[in-house]
Amino acid sequence: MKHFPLFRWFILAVLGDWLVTRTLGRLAIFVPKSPPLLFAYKVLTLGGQFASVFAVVLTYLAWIWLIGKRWKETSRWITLIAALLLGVSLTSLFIAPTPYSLPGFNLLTLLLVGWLGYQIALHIRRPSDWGMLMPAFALSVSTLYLLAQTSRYLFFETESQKAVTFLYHLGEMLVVLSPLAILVSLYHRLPTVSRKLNLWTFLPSATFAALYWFNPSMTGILAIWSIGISLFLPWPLYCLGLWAWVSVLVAARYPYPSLSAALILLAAAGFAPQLSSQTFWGIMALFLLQETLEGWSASQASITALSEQSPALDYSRG
Amino acid sequence: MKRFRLFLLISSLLLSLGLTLLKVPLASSQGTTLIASYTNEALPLQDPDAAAWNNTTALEIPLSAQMVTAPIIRETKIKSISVRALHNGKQVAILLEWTDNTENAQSIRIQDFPDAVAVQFPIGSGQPFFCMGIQGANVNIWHWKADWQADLLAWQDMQDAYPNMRVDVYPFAQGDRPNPADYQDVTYLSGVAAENPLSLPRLSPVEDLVAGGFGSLTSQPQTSQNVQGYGVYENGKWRVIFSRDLTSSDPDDVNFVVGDVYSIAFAAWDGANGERNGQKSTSQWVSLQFESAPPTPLLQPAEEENYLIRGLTAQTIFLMYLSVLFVLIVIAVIIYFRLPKEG
Repeated sequence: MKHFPLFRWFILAVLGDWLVTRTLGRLAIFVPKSPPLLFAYKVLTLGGQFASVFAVVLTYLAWIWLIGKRWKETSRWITLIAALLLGVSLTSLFIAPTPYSLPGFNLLTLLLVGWLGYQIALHIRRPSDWGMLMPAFALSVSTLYLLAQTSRYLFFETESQKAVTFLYHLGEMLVVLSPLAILVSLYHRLPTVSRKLNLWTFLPSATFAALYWFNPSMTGILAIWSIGISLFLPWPLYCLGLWAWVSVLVAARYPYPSLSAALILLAAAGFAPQLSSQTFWGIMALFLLQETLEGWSASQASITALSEQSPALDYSRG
Repeated sequence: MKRFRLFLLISSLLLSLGLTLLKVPLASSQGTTLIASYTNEALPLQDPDAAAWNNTTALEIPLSAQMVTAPIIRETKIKSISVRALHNGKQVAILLEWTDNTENAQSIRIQDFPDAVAVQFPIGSGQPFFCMGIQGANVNIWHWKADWQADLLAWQDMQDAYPNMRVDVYPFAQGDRPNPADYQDVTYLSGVAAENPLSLPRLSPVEDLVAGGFGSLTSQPQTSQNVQGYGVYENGKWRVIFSRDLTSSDPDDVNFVVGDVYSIAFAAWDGANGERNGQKSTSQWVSLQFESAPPTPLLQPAEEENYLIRGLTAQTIFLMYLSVLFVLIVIAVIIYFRLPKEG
């Protein structure tokens, strides 16, 4: 995935769509606007719209690139599912999705996420690496929630909300736990990570806490529009999750850029995404996590080989 | 490879820029501006099936539960609403359509709540808070209610909810059930005497309101109730038309000028889900643009050019999407053949 020719531009555009269109732009509703401020927001909206369109164009290109690459490397039925997802998404540009196409899309997504989770699990070499599987669990539950939502009225008589709400809450909990679990995995791989955890990594969490204390309902609305989470858990947990997310992003930036990119894509995809492009970002993030783990297991294999050659030396200490 | 990457980047940037400027979004598959198309005929104020509606593009507006102030229903039922708008230089008509499995047009029993829909406009410049405005920046709200409409077609009373109920006698009633026409003397109608809007005779299924923040919603005086409405429930779908003159002398009403852009927001209630008052689905602000009247033949060339840029037709958008698809396929083929060969 990271070898996609415009990978950096793609991540930049996704960041623009997420932070400008879906976060900063939405903040506008809480600001009583004078005509000059309204003009400023119109400019911001236009910039955000460009970032969104650019992100979607690059998403389609990256997805096509991924299909082409995986067609030669992986089992073809998985690539076929990815192609079908793209087909449904592109068709929806011309024809409004029918009530049956939405559960179909969710089902295909669930299959792909499940397969990717299995691939990630195959590359786990240490107990601490299991944390890397958490986003796959979160994405699976998120897709299950969407599947339940879209198929409930089609296939079931009941209007019971309990199961759907349970899935939503479970998924949100996994979303919050994901960066913490990844941080634990990263710490075992890269003990120097603690040096990177300076004051700056706490800044977003502190801002979130201040916003929450200042206006919880406003923070709730921003959170649900920005990432899709409802803040039903105690707020310190979200602070902790945000801190872990920033920490991994900063610490893994140079040694494991795929991991940092995966975290950006996961955040931009959000929980229970409404757009197909956001679903693609979540799946691409799992591809990146798989690549990171492949790298880790390859280095683990070379360390084991070296240790077998010279048993007196402990290479795993770096 | 470097040249190929540059080519890919520049073509993607140009494609995105073009789509953004021409307002052809890929991310949401729709624009965020509702165009009130011009027609030189009378507006279809009570006919959602009229052919005139096909001459204007529908905008699908996503709705979400009102989560700002209590009481809150987290899972509201109406997830989106389809909107179309027409004007003829004198009046504006807005058609709203949404799916609802149950028709709730009665609010006689205390446990019943009617289906309803509302549109909201800022009265001054700028955009106040999207939920009911804020102090100092009022909003004008048009609230259509299914039970008000049912009352206009045939007055509903306790007998409609409880057909087997027995009453010894209704004072002043001419028949065996009360009728509003039988009650004219306000001495015995305290609600009417107090000008309670819920007691006053209804002239329209739409209540014309003004608000400036939570808890400030106020019905305009009956003399200022100038919004008309008409709703039809068929095949699990509500279709409601709001209509009003473009201009109004009332200070609490929004005034429209052809050619200008306004903000509009929507709210909907599903009575079967217990949705009422603040427990509703709401949208954010959306732009509402009033299309100018077609140019006179003398001015046609210059005006036509403007019109093409501002109001893209569905066919143009479809052709643009086709070209996007074509470009993506070409790029995909190029990428595929540039992939390193196996082995």
